[in-house]
Amino acid sequence: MKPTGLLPGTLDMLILKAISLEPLHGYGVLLRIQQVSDEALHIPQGSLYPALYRLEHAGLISSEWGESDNRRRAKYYALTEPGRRRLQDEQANWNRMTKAIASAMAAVPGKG
Amino acid sequence: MLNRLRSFLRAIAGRRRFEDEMSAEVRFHLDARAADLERLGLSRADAARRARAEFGGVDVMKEDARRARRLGIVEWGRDVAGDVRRGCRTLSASPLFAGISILSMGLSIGANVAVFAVVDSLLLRPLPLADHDRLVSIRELRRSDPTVARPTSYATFEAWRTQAADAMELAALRPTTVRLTDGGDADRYAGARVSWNLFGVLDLQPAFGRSLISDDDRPGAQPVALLSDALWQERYAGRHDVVGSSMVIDGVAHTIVGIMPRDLSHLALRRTLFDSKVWIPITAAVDRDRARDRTVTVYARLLDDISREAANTRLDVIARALEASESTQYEGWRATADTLTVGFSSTTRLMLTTAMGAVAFLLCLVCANLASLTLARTGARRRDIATRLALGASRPRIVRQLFSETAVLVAASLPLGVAAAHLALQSDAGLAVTIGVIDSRALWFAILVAIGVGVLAGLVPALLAVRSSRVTTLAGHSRSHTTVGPEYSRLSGGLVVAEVALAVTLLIGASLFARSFQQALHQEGTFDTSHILMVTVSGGTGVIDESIRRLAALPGVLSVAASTSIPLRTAGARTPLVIDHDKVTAGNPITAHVTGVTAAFFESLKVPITQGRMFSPADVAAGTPVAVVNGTLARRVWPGVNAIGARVRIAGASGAWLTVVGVSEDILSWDVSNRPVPTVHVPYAHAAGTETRLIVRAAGDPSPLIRPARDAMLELDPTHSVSATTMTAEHHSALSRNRSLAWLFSLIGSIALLLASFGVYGVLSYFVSARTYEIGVRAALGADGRALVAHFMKMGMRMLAAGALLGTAGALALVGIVRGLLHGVSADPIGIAGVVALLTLIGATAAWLPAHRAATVDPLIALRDP
Repeated sequence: MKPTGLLPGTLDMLILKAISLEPLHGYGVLLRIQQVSDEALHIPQGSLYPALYRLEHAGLISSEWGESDNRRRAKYYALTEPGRRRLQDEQANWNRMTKAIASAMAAVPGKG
Repeated sequence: MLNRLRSFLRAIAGRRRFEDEMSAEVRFHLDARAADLERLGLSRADAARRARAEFGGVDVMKEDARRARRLGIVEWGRDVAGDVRRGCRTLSASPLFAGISILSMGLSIGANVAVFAVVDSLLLRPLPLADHDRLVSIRELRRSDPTVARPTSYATFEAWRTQAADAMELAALRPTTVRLTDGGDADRYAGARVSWNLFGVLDLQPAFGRSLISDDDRPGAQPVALLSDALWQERYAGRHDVVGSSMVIDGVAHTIVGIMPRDLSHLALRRTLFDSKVWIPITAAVDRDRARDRTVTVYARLLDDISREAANTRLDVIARALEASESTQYEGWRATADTLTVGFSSTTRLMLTTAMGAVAFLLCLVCANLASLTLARTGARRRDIATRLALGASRPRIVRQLFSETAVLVAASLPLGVAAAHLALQSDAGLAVTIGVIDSRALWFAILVAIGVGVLAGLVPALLAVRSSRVTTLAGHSRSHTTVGPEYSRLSGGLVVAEVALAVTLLIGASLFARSFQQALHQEGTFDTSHILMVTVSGGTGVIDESIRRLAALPGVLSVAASTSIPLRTAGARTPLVIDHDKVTAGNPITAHVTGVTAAFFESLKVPITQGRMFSPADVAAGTPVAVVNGTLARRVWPGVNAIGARVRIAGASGAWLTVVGVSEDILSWDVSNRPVPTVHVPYAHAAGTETRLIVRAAGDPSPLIRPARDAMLELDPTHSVSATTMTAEHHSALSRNRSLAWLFSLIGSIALLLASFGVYGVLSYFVSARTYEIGVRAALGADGRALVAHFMKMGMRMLAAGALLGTAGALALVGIVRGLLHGVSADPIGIAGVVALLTLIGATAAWLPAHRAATVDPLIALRDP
């Protein structure tokens, strides 16, 4: 699939989703999102860390220094309870919106 | 919420750690990416480069990251700092505007703070005494007319003290002048004889040593004294060994037992204590018999749970008892206890109010000036503002940026203002009332004023500018109409009109006070002061003849006379008279000022005797009881009848009936009322007091005689204390209030006029530059340059005329308020005409300059740049 840009406002949701399965460091989040979207979503790397810090500041994720696969120190981010709730909300919103837009786009002339 | 706080605190406290961690994270990220890229086949170096390129700007990211971790406030703080910096930069591009604004705002804030400090000290603050609502002053008021009061005699005080002891504690104070001799020149100071418990009653403790005790206040006690802090500093340089040492006061050695603290220098307290600097027990020098010697002021502290009403009732009972007693001196008088307020005359209050009004006007003017100039400046940037709004900048943000310039100006002028106020108060200039310190109340006032100025002069124009910058200003080149919005030019113009009006009002005030001062100086009916020297000596009757002889022997002296007092500056104490006349009504006793004079008195003052004659040396030598009354008294007591031959007696004294031998012209007092006081002049020998005033008439300028006169007196008796001034100097100092006001208003008025003219110039300049395009079109089409100049001049003159009319109307309306300060001057057409002329001259110049610029606009340049 051709890589597309992110819709504004969805970065936070994607990060939360990526972390929801297991704690990841920044680079890991990047890879995970690319992976699960079939390489379609490429996050601009300059906005990743500010978003992570913002989410942490808002209490939706927490951070902890740990060891990576190749025994290097890295900061791992995990979802908090409020973060989990926010993810559910955002997901619900997103689904609602896409359904609405999809039905609007499927309108055929004459059908109103 | 807690998370945010934690994160914020961590951000503040652990900034270093945060930075390190962020760097570590980035490094890890880049390394991991490079490793992945290497696995895909790139060389190490390429992989690293590619990883970095993909990541993007690390520093920008770090900046965003930092921002994300902060709370709004810190970010806001950085924004504000940026605005301030930008504001400073913009201001430094127009240093003239900035300089004048800071200077004018600083000076007017300073003036307001200074006047406020004075008013605060005098009128607003309560006396700094503990439980001051328990303190009263007891005065004797006439039963028939409670507006008339008289000072008390010591005998009366003692009567009160014994009979009211269970209701209040009384203490007496008698102001006097003391001579301090310290092995050198005698120096005269204001002092007071006080009851031993006065400071206890007033709840003032000495700073060093002890206060007076009851043993000090007995006849025959060891003479002791208390010194004020000011005197202690002046004569003893604050040496601590002064307590216990001896000081010669009025020729008698006194032991100094204590020093009073410095905060007695608070003006209100000083006046309560009659500005005395040395305190001596009162019993030692009391003349109980001299009922005429009424110089005692009585203070009392009400005992617990005695109300003022109860105290007054008790005093009334005592007064009636005294009236019923033998002595006639109590007839018709009762006693009342009043709360201790510092009695500033209504004139002083009026003067202070006037001064406050004047400086407030100036401040308004400065505000208006700054506001109109700010409007002009932001008006020129409206296109710029509109662009930014269109690009999505928030309105509050832009308002804040515009406001920050004014805020910088105000912030710079505040310390300038406070410093100026401090200097003004220290220098004791003008107002003739010294208070002196900028304290925390004054500082708060200054800050409040500065905020007010900032809001009015900065915030309002900024809001207006943003509100009126609509997208339409961007729409093409506004060729068909000016880029000046109608509300803008109206507001700017209106502000300038207001400025001019204020300036005109102040200047008219200045001319009024100046005229009033002139009037007071040359008041018809006051005697000619130009050739008179006044020598004041503390001493008794004995030396009078010798003093007169010595002074008369000085070169250029025409005549010398002595008197016990001259009621020129103040009304003087008045004594009741008893008239030997069957027409006088018993219920209306006459009071008059009684003064003892020598034969040459009227001659020296050049005050004529209109009827009868002056008492002759024969009268004095024989001791015949004679008197000369002044015209006011004669008209009051013997209207339409010849007063010569009538008899009067001083009430309460054991003296004989005095026969009136002459009537003199009135000597008008020097205060605003210029009222003459009914006066009875008796031969000096019959009325000697503690002070003598010698009047020396010189043939020419009396000032060279000051030294010789003083020396002659000191030679006579070195322990006397002498002061000599010319009568003209006395007169001037008596009129200092008026002169100060004239000076204050002139200064403020001139500054106001300059600022208003600057305002006119500024606004017209703005109009011209706003319409440059239109002017260019007209010029290109062949319009006459003169017509352009005329057009703008008309605009300017219209503003000036409107302002002048408003200002004159305002001044005339306000004259009624300050009438009490003016010596009979109410309208001054010449002065008004002069002000208008001055305004026209300066204002027209200010208007002409930009108008002239309009005419010299090069059409090519104007058309090119809309």
